[in-house]
Amino acid sequence: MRPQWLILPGLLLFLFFNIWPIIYSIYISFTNANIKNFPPPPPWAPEELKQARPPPDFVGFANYASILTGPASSGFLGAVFWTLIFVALSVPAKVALGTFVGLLMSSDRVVGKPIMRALLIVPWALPLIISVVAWRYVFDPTYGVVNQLLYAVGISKPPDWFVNKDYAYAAMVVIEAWLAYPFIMTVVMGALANVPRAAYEAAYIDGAGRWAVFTRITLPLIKRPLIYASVMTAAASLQFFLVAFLWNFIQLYDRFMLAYGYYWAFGSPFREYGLAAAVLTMSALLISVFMILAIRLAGLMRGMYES
Amino acid sequence: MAIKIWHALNPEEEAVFKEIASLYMESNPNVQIVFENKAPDLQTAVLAAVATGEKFDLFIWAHDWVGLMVEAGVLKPVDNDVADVLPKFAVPIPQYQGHVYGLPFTAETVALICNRKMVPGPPETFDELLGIMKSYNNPPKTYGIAYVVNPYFISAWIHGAGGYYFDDQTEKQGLNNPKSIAGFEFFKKYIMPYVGPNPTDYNTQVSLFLGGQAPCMVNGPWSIGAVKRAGIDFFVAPLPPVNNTFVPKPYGGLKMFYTTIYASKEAIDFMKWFTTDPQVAKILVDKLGYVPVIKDVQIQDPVVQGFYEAIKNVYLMPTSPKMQPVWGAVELVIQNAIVSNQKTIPQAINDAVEDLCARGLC
Repeated sequence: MRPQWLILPGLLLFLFFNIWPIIYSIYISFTNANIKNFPPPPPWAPEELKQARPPPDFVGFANYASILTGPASSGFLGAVFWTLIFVALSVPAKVALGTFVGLLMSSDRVVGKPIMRALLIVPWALPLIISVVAWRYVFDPTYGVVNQLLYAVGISKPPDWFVNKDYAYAAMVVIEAWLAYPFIMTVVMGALANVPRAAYEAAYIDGAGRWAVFTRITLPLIKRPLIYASVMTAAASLQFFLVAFLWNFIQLYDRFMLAYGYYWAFGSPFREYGLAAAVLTMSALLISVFMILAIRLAGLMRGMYES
Repeated sequence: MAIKIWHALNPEEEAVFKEIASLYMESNPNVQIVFENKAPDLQTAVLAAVATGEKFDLFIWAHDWVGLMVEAGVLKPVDNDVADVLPKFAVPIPQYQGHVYGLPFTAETVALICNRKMVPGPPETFDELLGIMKSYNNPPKTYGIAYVVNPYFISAWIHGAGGYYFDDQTEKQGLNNPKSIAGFEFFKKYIMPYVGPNPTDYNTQVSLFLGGQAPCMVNGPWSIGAVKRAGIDFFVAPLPPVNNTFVPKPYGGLKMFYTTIYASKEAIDFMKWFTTDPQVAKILVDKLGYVPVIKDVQIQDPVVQGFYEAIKNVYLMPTSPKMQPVWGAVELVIQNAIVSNQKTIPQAINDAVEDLCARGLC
């Protein structure tokens, strides 16, 4: 037997679980699949059901045309725009917070690090639904900590973080930063563990201040993992959906790409699966382009294939 | 002969339904009735089953799925099979495009639930209610009323003013109808100022009433259990009329049996018996507090009586699946222009309708 055959089981599983669903959903995006005709009845289904549920029709690029040029296209493009703003706001917040805490947690002067590290990972480990419920209490317009604080500092009418679109959007940025900083923190801590102490000692002996040590030594040495983590977390921001869905979907649906697609396809009378698949395919394309550009520009792959 | 019935009833309801079914099986020994609980997502279960050809006879849910389920190929019309029992009903039977797809056994809508310690008897007019709301409106200690401000709960005032969210006949939205706008304006001007904090949150509103912080709450029969458990001495009455022409008409739902394309004759016979037999209706009233929908039922319970009065003014929820996106549009109007002042009501309606139209849904 030739050794190449050994990859067959893995390859088949990969094709079945990864490639097939992707190809199938791309296929769906070219049909008018909806609740009336999808999924089609199996061959052994009774005749009356086959008549009641004719198979979906192939509609070519109609779903894509409706996203890009239809009457709702301005809504979708608006959602893409606001998603990019969300990336621009949330990614720096996540990275700054994660890096700061990561540096703190790697310092010799912090006491009780093992316990604190465990606690800091909590946002990452907690089921999302519980995080959202907790944050709903924090941002509750009447009883929440945030508005109680605002009230205490003299703001007599603090904002409604659910009903007011812009404030709800701002809350999303805060929550996303909170959800994702443990990831960045972990990456930073891992990277710092590999930085030789001799580099710091040499710098201090040469009289470098803390800021100089950070910008000249720490940052260059952890730059690669940090950029990698930033690109990954930017992709997470592009796919932001569930928190907005649970928060107040009706105000936030037109601020996030995937949320708009969901609202558009599933908020219609017959759940337009075809349209939803087209929105997903478009979003996947946009996110892929973003990732490829980010990886290229950051030079993450540089040196990968030389050795 | 087995009859398979899918449902998402709570355990208390399921027990009573099984008890009634065993009564039927005693007199019809050839029939075996099987209940299958598909909570929490009956809709997905039904649609998935149909797509794969899995068979069951009936399922139980409120009537607003009729249109969707017909379009999905789940239901079969039973106009001829049930024609003989239709005169027994006191409510209109839900239809979609002129056909009947099952029979109802109870009705649900919202009414006024008041604490007797704060309000001695039912207000006869809206002015009286307004007086009550004003006299108790003393935030943050007490509030004028506990009211969940969402499309279902406030629909009474839009319909009362002569407007509508959606016309089930033409399948068109009616939000920008001047009378609908007047209804929204009425709610905002005369009720909204007296509603407690977090007006869109169900739990907050209910707990205000249960904690004695509001004299009345607008809610449905499903909330009565909690009110009783809190030990409150209360009464239930219809929402009071503003004047002779402005009578609040809340959206109402009929809980019903749906007949699937696989429903056997035996299943249809069982459904007809269950929904129209006075003895069954009495068990449902006594044990579950269900509001009956057939004529000639004696009601002793004052709570059921209160909701029974409220049902008389009900505006049945649409059966058309095209209502679905309109719920979201009304929710937007409420959030943007009633519980907050981000937009005026006409502006908010205009924007919501524009969004519906952009998606080809107006």
